[in-house]
Amino acid sequence: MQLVQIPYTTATPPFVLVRADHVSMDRWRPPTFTSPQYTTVRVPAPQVLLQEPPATGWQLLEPIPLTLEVDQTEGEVRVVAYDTLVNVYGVGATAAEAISDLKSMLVDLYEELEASQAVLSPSLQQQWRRLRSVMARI
Amino acid sequence: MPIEKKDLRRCLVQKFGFEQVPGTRHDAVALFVGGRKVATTRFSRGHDDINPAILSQIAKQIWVQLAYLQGMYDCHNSRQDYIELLRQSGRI
Repeated sequence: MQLVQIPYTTATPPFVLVRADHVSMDRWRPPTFTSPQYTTVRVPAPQVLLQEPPATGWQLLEPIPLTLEVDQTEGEVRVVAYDTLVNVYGVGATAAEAISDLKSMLVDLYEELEASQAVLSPSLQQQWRRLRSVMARI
Repeated sequence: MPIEKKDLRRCLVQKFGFEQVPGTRHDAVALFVGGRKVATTRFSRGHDDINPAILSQIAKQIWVQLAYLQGMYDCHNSRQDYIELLRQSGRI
Protein backbone atom coordinates (compact mmCIF):
# COMPACT_ATOMS: atom_id res chain seq x y z
CA MET A 1 0.00 0.00 0.00
CA GLN A 2 1.15 3.56 -0.61
CA LEU A 3 -0.09 6.98 0.28
CA VAL A 4 -1.37 9.15 -2.53
CA GLN A 5 -2.31 12.78 -2.13
CA ILE A 6 -5.36 13.85 -4.07
CA PRO A 7 -6.20 17.53 -4.58
CA TYR A 8 -9.15 18.31 -2.37
CA THR A 9 -11.72 20.50 -4.07
CA THR A 10 -15.35 21.29 -3.59
CA ALA A 11 -16.04 18.84 -6.40
CA THR A 12 -14.88 16.00 -4.15
CA PRO A 13 -16.53 16.60 -0.77
CA PRO A 14 -16.07 14.03 1.96
CA PHE A 15 -19.23 11.98 1.61
CA VAL A 16 -20.18 9.89 4.60
CA LEU A 17 -22.60 7.05 4.03
CA VAL A 18 -25.04 6.30 6.81
CA ARG A 19 -28.19 4.25 6.95
CA ALA A 20 -31.19 6.45 6.32
CA ASP A 21 -33.05 5.13 9.34
CA HIS A 22 -30.13 6.19 11.55
CA VAL A 23 -30.45 9.84 10.58
CA SER A 24 -32.66 12.08 12.57
CA MET A 25 -33.49 14.76 10.03
CA ASP A 26 -34.51 17.34 12.56
CA ARG A 27 -30.94 17.32 13.91
CA TRP A 28 -29.23 16.96 10.54
CA ARG A 29 -26.88 19.72 9.42
CA PRO A 30 -24.77 19.88 6.27
CA PRO A 31 -21.26 18.59 6.91
CA THR A 32 -18.68 21.27 7.41
CA PHE A 33 -15.03 20.99 6.60
CA THR A 34 -12.11 23.35 6.64
CA SER A 35 -11.11 22.93 2.98
CA PRO A 36 -7.64 21.48 3.39
CA GLN A 37 -5.52 21.63 0.24
CA TYR A 38 -4.98 17.90 0.10
CA THR A 39 -6.46 14.79 1.51
CA THR A 40 -4.47 11.58 1.85
CA VAL A 41 -5.92 8.28 0.75
CA ARG A 42 -4.41 4.83 0.85
CA VAL A 43 -4.42 2.92 -2.43
CA PRO A 44 -2.70 -0.30 -3.39
CA ALA A 45 0.59 0.14 -5.25
CA PRO A 46 0.25 -1.19 -8.80
CA GLN A 47 1.56 -4.70 -9.27
CA VAL A 48 2.67 -6.37 -12.47
CA LEU A 49 4.06 -9.77 -13.35
CA LEU A 50 7.46 -9.88 -15.00
CA GLN A 51 7.09 -12.61 -17.59
CA GLU A 52 9.74 -11.86 -20.17
CA PRO A 53 13.41 -12.94 -20.00
CA PRO A 54 15.62 -10.50 -18.13
CA ALA A 55 18.09 -10.35 -21.02
CA THR A 56 19.19 -12.16 -24.16
CA GLY A 57 20.56 -15.56 -23.25
CA TRP A 58 18.40 -15.84 -20.14
CA GLN A 59 15.04 -17.39 -19.44
CA LEU A 60 12.50 -16.78 -16.74
CA LEU A 61 11.37 -20.04 -15.16
CA GLU A 62 8.34 -18.45 -13.54
CA PRO A 63 6.81 -14.98 -13.48
CA ILE A 64 8.14 -12.58 -10.86
CA PRO A 65 5.58 -10.30 -9.15
CA LEU A 66 6.74 -6.69 -9.18
CA THR A 67 5.45 -3.66 -7.32
CA LEU A 68 5.69 -0.22 -8.90
CA GLU A 69 5.96 2.95 -6.86
CA VAL A 70 5.82 6.41 -8.36
CA ASP A 71 7.79 9.13 -6.64
CA GLN A 72 7.64 12.79 -7.52
CA THR A 73 10.31 14.98 -5.99
CA GLU A 74 10.92 18.57 -7.10
CA GLY A 75 8.96 18.00 -10.28
CA GLU A 76 10.90 14.90 -11.31
CA VAL A 77 8.83 11.75 -11.66
CA ARG A 78 10.61 8.52 -10.91
CA VAL A 79 9.29 4.98 -10.93
CA VAL A 80 10.76 2.34 -8.65
CA ALA A 81 10.03 -1.30 -9.50
CA TYR A 82 10.86 -3.96 -6.95
CA ASP A 83 10.17 -7.56 -6.16
CA THR A 84 9.86 -9.25 -2.78
CA LEU A 85 11.23 -12.60 -3.89
CA VAL A 86 14.90 -11.78 -4.30
CA ASN A 87 14.91 -8.13 -3.20
CA VAL A 88 15.95 -6.49 -6.43
CA TYR A 89 14.83 -3.05 -7.59
CA GLY A 90 15.03 -0.88 -10.68
CA VAL A 91 14.59 2.83 -11.25
CA GLY A 92 13.51 4.82 -14.28
CA ALA A 93 11.55 7.78 -15.57
CA THR A 94 8.82 5.39 -16.70
CA ALA A 95 7.56 1.98 -15.60
CA ALA A 96 9.17 0.40 -18.65
CA GLU A 97 12.54 1.95 -17.82
CA ALA A 98 12.29 0.87 -14.18
CA ILE A 99 11.45 -2.72 -15.16
CA SER A 100 14.28 -2.76 -17.70
CA ASP A 101 16.66 -1.55 -14.98
CA LEU A 102 15.34 -4.23 -12.59
CA LYS A 103 15.95 -6.95 -15.18
CA SER A 104 19.53 -5.77 -15.55
CA MET A 105 19.89 -5.85 -11.75
CA LEU A 106 18.53 -9.43 -11.70
CA VAL A 107 21.22 -10.60 -14.12
CA ASP A 108 23.87 -8.64 -12.22
CA LEU A 109 22.87 -10.26 -8.92
CA TYR A 110 22.70 -13.72 -10.47
CA GLU A 111 26.22 -13.40 -11.84
CA GLU A 112 27.56 -12.08 -8.56
CA LEU A 113 26.04 -14.84 -6.43
CA GLU A 114 27.03 -17.47 -8.97
CA ALA A 115 30.64 -16.30 -8.87
CA SER A 116 30.80 -16.36 -5.08
CA GLN A 117 28.79 -19.52 -4.31
CA ALA A 118 31.58 -21.00 -2.23
CA VAL A 119 31.60 -18.16 0.28
CA LEU A 120 27.92 -17.27 0.58
CA SER A 121 26.37 -17.01 4.02
CA PRO A 122 23.25 -19.13 4.61
CA SER A 123 20.97 -16.15 3.92
CA LEU A 124 22.68 -15.39 0.62
CA GLN A 125 22.63 -19.11 -0.27
CA GLN A 126 18.87 -19.01 0.24
CA GLN A 127 18.63 -15.90 -1.93
CA TRP A 128 20.77 -17.67 -4.57
CA ARG A 129 18.44 -20.69 -4.53
CA ARG A 130 15.39 -18.44 -4.91
CA LEU A 131 17.03 -16.63 -7.81
CA ARG A 132 17.89 -19.91 -9.55
CA SER A 133 14.30 -21.06 -9.11
CA VAL A 134 13.00 -18.14 -11.18
CA MET A 135 15.69 -17.57 -13.82
CA ALA A 136 18.41 -19.43 -15.66
CA ARG A 137 20.83 -19.18 -18.53
CA ILE A 138 19.55 -20.67 -21.79
CA MET B 1 16.17 15.30 2.12
CA PRO B 2 17.24 12.65 -0.40
CA ILE B 3 20.49 10.83 0.21
CA GLU B 4 23.07 10.99 -2.56
CA LYS B 5 23.90 7.56 -3.95
CA LYS B 6 27.63 8.21 -3.79
CA ASP B 7 27.37 9.27 -0.13
CA LEU B 8 25.53 6.11 0.91
CA ARG B 9 27.98 3.98 -1.05
CA ARG B 10 30.91 5.76 0.59
CA CYS B 11 29.31 5.24 4.02
CA LEU B 12 28.88 1.49 3.46
CA VAL B 13 32.42 1.10 2.15
CA GLN B 14 34.36 3.37 4.49
CA LYS B 15 32.39 2.95 7.70
CA PHE B 16 30.92 -0.54 7.44
CA GLY B 17 33.64 -2.28 5.46
CA PHE B 18 31.66 -3.19 2.35
CA GLU B 19 33.90 -4.04 -0.60
CA GLN B 20 33.50 -3.27 -4.26
CA VAL B 21 32.28 -6.34 -6.17
CA PRO B 22 34.36 -6.57 -9.34
CA GLY B 23 32.72 -7.12 -12.71
CA THR B 24 29.22 -5.92 -11.89
CA ARG B 25 27.33 -3.44 -14.03
CA HIS B 26 25.49 -1.78 -11.18
CA ASP B 27 28.23 -0.82 -8.77
CA ALA B 28 27.65 -3.61 -6.28
CA VAL B 29 29.25 -3.69 -2.85
CA ALA B 30 29.35 -6.68 -0.50
CA LEU B 31 30.17 -7.30 3.14
CA PHE B 32 32.43 -10.17 4.15
CA VAL B 33 32.60 -11.45 7.73
CA GLY B 34 34.94 -14.29 8.61
CA GLY B 35 35.56 -14.99 4.94
CA ARG B 36 31.84 -15.33 4.16
CA LYS B 37 29.85 -12.95 2.01
CA VAL B 38 26.96 -11.97 4.26
CA ALA B 39 25.32 -9.06 2.45
CA THR B 40 25.38 -7.51 -0.97
CA THR B 41 23.69 -4.49 -2.44
CA ARG B 42 23.90 -2.64 -5.71
CA PHE B 43 23.19 0.87 -6.86
CA SER B 44 21.09 1.33 -9.95
CA ARG B 45 22.50 3.53 -12.69
CA GLY B 46 19.03 5.03 -13.06
CA HIS B 47 19.38 7.59 -10.28
CA ASP B 48 21.85 9.78 -8.41
CA ASP B 49 19.89 10.33 -5.24
CA ILE B 50 18.08 7.78 -3.16
CA ASN B 51 14.46 8.32 -2.21
CA PRO B 52 12.76 6.37 0.62
CA ALA B 53 11.44 3.69 -1.76
CA ILE B 54 14.94 2.92 -3.04
CA LEU B 55 16.48 3.19 0.42
CA SER B 56 13.94 0.67 1.65
CA GLN B 57 15.04 -1.82 -1.02
CA ILE B 58 18.72 -1.31 -0.19
CA ALA B 59 17.88 -1.86 3.49
CA LYS B 60 16.28 -5.22 2.63
CA GLN B 61 19.31 -6.20 0.58
CA ILE B 62 21.61 -5.71 3.57
CA TRP B 63 19.12 -7.35 6.00
CA VAL B 64 18.08 -4.33 8.05
CA GLN B 65 14.98 -2.20 8.52
CA LEU B 66 14.76 1.14 6.76
CA ALA B 67 15.12 3.08 10.02
CA TYR B 68 18.24 1.10 10.91
CA LEU B 69 19.86 1.91 7.56
CA GLN B 70 19.05 5.56 8.10
CA GLY B 71 20.77 5.22 11.47
CA MET B 72 23.79 3.67 9.76
CA TYR B 73 23.94 6.63 7.40
CA ASP B 74 23.41 9.15 10.21
CA CYS B 75 26.21 7.56 12.27
CA HIS B 76 23.86 6.32 15.03
CA ASN B 77 24.68 2.69 14.25
CA SER B 78 28.29 1.53 14.10
CA ARG B 79 29.82 -1.32 12.13
CA GLN B 80 29.99 -3.28 15.38
CA ASP B 81 26.28 -2.67 16.01
CA TYR B 82 25.47 -3.79 12.49
CA ILE B 83 27.53 -6.97 12.68
CA GLU B 84 25.91 -7.77 16.03
CA LEU B 85 22.46 -7.23 14.53
CA LEU B 86 23.32 -9.59 11.66
CA ARG B 87 24.46 -12.20 14.21
CA GLN B 88 21.30 -11.82 16.30
CA SER B 89 19.09 -12.14 13.24
CA GLY B 90 20.91 -15.26 12.09
CA ARG B 91 22.38 -13.68 8.97
CA ILE B 92 25.92 -14.63 9.99
